[in-house]
Amino acid sequence: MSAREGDDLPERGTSEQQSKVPPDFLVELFTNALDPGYAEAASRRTGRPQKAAWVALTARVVSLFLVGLLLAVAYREAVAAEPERSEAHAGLIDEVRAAQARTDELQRRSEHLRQQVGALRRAALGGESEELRRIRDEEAATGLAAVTGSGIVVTLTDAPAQIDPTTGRPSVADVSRVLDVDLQGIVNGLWASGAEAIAIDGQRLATTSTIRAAGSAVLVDFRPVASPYEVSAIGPGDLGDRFVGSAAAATARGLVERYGLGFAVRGESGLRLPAAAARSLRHAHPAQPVQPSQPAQPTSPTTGPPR
Amino acid sequence: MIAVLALIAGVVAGVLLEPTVPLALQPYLPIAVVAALDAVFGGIRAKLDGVFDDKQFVVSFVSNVLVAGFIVFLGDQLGVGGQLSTGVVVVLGVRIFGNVAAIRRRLFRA
Amino acid sequence: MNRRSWFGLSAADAVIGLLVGVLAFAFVVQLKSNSGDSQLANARQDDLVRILSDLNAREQRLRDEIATLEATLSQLGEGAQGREAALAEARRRADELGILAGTLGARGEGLVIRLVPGAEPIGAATILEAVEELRGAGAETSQIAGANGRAVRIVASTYFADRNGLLLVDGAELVAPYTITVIGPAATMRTALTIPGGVSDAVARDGGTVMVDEPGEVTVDAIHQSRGLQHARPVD
Repeated sequence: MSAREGDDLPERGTSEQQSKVPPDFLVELFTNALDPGYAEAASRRTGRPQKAAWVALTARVVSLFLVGLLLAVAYREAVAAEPERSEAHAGLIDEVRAAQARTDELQRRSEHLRQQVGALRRAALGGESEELRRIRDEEAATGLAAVTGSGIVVTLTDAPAQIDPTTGRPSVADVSRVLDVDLQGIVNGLWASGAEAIAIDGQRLATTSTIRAAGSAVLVDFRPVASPYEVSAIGPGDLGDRFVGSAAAATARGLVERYGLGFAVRGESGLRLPAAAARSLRHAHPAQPVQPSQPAQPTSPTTGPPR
Repeated sequence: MIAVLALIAGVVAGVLLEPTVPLALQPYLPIAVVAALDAVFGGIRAKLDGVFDDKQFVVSFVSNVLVAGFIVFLGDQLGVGGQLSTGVVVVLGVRIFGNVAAIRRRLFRA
Repeated sequence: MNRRSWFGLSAADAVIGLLVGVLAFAFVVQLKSNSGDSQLANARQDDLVRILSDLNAREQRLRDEIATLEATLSQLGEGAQGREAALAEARRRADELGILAGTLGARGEGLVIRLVPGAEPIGAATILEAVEELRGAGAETSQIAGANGRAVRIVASTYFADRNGLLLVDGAELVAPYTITVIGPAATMRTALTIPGGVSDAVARDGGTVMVDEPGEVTVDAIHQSRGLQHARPVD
């Protein structure tokens, strides 16, 4: 073990006293926390009459007063001066959570009502299933009905968290997080590779679906999703190969190299993607039907993956 | 008894007077508190062991606070402020625990 | 210490068990609160304010929807009138779906946005960003047209790519300058486009300009030819 450093110092007083520098600091620290100074002072005191008692008392009082002062001031600095900003911050977070809970509840009610309307509609129309079939097919195509099939799952993960030395908490630098633009790029690439339905962490993407970032959180249709981000896509058998060879995948691989994000693609059969949250249109109304004989009307070409 | 009163008087004064701490010293406040607590618990244990000495107490209090603050300040200059601060807190914490354990043994024989 | 025991457990054992249980509980709670919370807790104040206002807008929209649905529900419930109402409702729903799917033309309040490139061509990434911003601001349906007369309806599956300096939308080549016609809340969408660091800035950085026009009512009549689902099947 460590050398006994105290051996060279002259012993003071009786043999019971410890040397000034304990030989094995850590062992001493853990077993004998009391300042050896007290023991020495006590042994010294027994040999001499005490000094004026009031000097000692004053010293004690003053130092304890200072300790109390120090405690109070430190408390005030640490706790009370925690800026009102952070209280407001906590208050905001509570408000956001409450609003999320409310909207989730309203969303559920809206879905429930929609189902009731649908059921009544089907019951009332009975045999006239033409409209109903049209509805169902278009619902499926626009992401408003659950679909199943085989396809691929693309997984994007934030870079692994580093422990921040000052706070001791794991933190990920902003640039090493998956951003909404990254997810948008992946989704764009999947559509380009022939995907027919896409969902991110269980949130189906429809025409009006949004992928946005707020701070470090990514929100799909206002619902937060977290790393690892699983983008599930149903499509043709070669969807995986086409996507892996696409520009979007190349961009993602670049992100892996530069920022340490995680990127993985795997095939998956029997994917089940839920319906997107429905919403009614408040601004758009059907236009007058387009006359097929007017060549000047711009029409879009047949859609599909580029040949 | 007078000692306890002095402590309470200090806390009350700190709360009422609201002294403002200069900005440069603010980061060292927590470490000063821990160092002061170490001195206080050391003093209490010495009192219970019957070896209390006022001079020792005052000196240990002042030197603890100053040395701890100085070590952290030095660490900040060298760029290892966080780590040195942790080290100081660990050592002081161990001493506090040791003293508190001894006090507990004395008081409760448990 | 076996002064008294119930079922072979002394008081000490019970206390120890209780304390360990409390420890385990606290540990689990701490783990959960540490992992689940980090998203919102790390968000900046401005982001929280924005999320909050988005959520409030959504809440308002949901309340309106619920009111409409409840009215429809009461209409549908009533006998022969109910059947008429059901048919009308089905047609309305089919229209809505048609607009969303791009198989029907639409008109309504919205914006006409012209993107004129400068020295650099406007990339697909910028167009994608614009579309996403518009969606976030409440766009309901839109189309993008190029100077070469081709127009493409933008639906969920619309993808954008660059090819030889031209914009590729769902496989069709469009020539700049591009015109995006979008139906939705005009003011909100306009704001979304012009926020600092947004689409306007991105285009300006490449030397281009973004011109936003609010004609009161716009028409989106490009039709999306859907091939129907061939690999995904609706779940019943």
